[in-house]
Amino acid sequence: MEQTMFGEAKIKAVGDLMRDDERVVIIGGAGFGGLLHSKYVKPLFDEFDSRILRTPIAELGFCGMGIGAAIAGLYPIVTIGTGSFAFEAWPQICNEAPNITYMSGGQVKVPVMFHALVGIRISGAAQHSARPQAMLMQVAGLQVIAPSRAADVGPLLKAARDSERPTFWVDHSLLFEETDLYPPGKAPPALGKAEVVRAGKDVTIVGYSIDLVRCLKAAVELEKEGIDAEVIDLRTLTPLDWETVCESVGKTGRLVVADECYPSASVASEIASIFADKGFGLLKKPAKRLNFPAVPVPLSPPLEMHLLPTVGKIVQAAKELVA
Amino acid sequence: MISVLSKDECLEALRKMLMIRRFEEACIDAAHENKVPGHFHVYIGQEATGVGVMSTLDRGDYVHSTHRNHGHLIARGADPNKALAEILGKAGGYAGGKAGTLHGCAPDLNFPLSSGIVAGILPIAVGTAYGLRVRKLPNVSVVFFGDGAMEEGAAYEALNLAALWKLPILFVCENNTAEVDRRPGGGQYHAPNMSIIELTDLPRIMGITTQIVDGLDLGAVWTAARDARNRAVNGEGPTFFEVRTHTWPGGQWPTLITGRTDISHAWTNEVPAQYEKNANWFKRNDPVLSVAREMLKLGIASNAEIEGIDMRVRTEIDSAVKFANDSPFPSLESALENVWPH
Ligand SMILES: Cc1ncc(C[n+]2csc(CCOP(=O)(O)OP(=O)(O)O)c2C)c(N)n1
Ligand SMILES: [Mg+2]
Repeated sequence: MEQTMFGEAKIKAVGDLMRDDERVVIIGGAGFGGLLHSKYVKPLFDEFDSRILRTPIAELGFCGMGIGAAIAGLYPIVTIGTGSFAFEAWPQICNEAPNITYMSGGQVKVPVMFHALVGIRISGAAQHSARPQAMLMQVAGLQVIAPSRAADVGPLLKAARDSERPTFWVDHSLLFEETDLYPPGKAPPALGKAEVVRAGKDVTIVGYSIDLVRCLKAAVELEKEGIDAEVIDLRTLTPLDWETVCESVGKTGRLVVADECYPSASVASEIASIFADKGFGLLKKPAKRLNFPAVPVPLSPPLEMHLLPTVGKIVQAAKELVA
Repeated sequence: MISVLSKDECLEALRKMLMIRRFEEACIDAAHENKVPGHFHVYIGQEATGVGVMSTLDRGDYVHSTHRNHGHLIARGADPNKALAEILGKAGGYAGGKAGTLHGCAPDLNFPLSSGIVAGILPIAVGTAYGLRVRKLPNVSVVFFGDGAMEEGAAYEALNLAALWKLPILFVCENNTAEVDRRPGGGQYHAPNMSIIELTDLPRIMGITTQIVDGLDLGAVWTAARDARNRAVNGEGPTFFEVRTHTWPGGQWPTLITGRTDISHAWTNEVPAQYEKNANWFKRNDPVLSVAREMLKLGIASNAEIEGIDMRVRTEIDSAVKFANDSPFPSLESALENVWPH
């Protein structure tokens, strides 16, 4: 299997969107990667130089501009940079973009995509490590996508554009150099459709973005110990595919969810809540949710590592459930 | 002109500036040994700003900073041992390793936090100024921030709030890109990106006293800050400074591109051959060399006295490095401390 880095695939995906339709523009100009990855991003920025609006440090202003430009016929990809900076633009992302189509009785479309490198990036400390995705799931009218596999990113971006809905692309700062551990699915990814990346019968492990990578690595470890894990990539957080998760837990009766968000009102708690409702009675053991504990992200490396939902913790949780 | 300061004040200011320089050099060394978690921003080239302003302040004044806070901490009198240990994420740091470089603080010195969010600190500083006003204290709030902060909406709101209520605050905008062509719309890190050419135009039309100050001129910074502080305490409202400094060639990502500072260059005026490319730094733009030269010229200190100060500073920073290296990482249990409800 050819090994494409996720980062390269996403740069190609953005380039394809831009080649395909000249109304696609980039606003922001903060990279799709960190300093180390600028050599991969540079060709894209060179090719489309005239369609990139390099902005001042003005997240509130340029995210709002993205909304306006979308209304006026463009398809802006607004690059915010570090996920924590999205909070500077919160009023536009959460209280303007998602309401406009509804407030106009469906007449005004807002085809804009916000992109940010969210998450625990290692040593980002309290103000550069936000995982805003669970908060964004509280925003009615906003689509939230979180591709993490090279094969998925292109089709998902295209689907998001075709949907003409305001979309937040939750990208993770540590995903760039990851390569797919498992082959792509048979059907192209669709909005609101999770994927069973690895089929298994003993325990269901659910993740997305960097946490999916950790889940898959955990599955490899578990296999060595004779535990056959089924791993699900949520891929899109809004809409959320509860059916695929239910189906899997129907088989395994056991659930582990890995999610860098804080525990309360998180992606993990949303997944677990399925089993108090539509999936009631399917669990044979209590679900295990692995979140980042509810403390600001500390700088000190041992503290940060202590709090992260690591591969080791996922393995441990699965083993406890299967034992 | 540093002649506005007494001899002792001059010597103390140079000591603080050297302390910042040696502290930052130690940070860069530590980074090359992979001991610094995360990326960081050094204060090299801006020493006269922090030291000049801070020399005029009272213990009861509040000081606020940004991602580029190391120099402000040292200028305020922070313990270099604890400051460096914090940057390395160690238990002996000011915040027990939780803050790191981006969020330096010394609460015992009325330096409660640094925000790593561009312009995030400005409204908070307006708030401490308001607190001082309500509590009828004869103090001011001082906020240091980069030129980039002026691009954010928060800066505009903070300036307006401070102007509206004539709050006791000094806005110290450190423009470390003074040499960059002021052409709006470049859109790059380390370049002015404002539609106005002069940053001071914006606060001035809001009714804030403004002043452009040369960041190589310690005396000018000191005089401007002293006067602004007096006005603020007397109820005459805020002042906005644009202090202009030059981009240190190593600034983009800290490497010692101009080498370890050799204080004797102040009198030898030598530009070492290997740094010929950055000759302007040695001849003009390095505030440490420039202030030392001014002191020599005015007979405030001799070569030997200056060397003596540097020697003592280096000893102090050497022991800070040892303290920080020897300090253990924080205990894992501490990860859950200092936040409600744990
Ligand atoms: C809200 C926000 N957006 C973007 C960044 C990323 N960032 C960190 S420093 C910086 C440039 C700041 O320039 P300036 O204010 O002039 O400070 P300097 O680094 O030059 O001292 C940027 C864009 C950030 N920290 N916060
Ligand atoms: Mg600057």
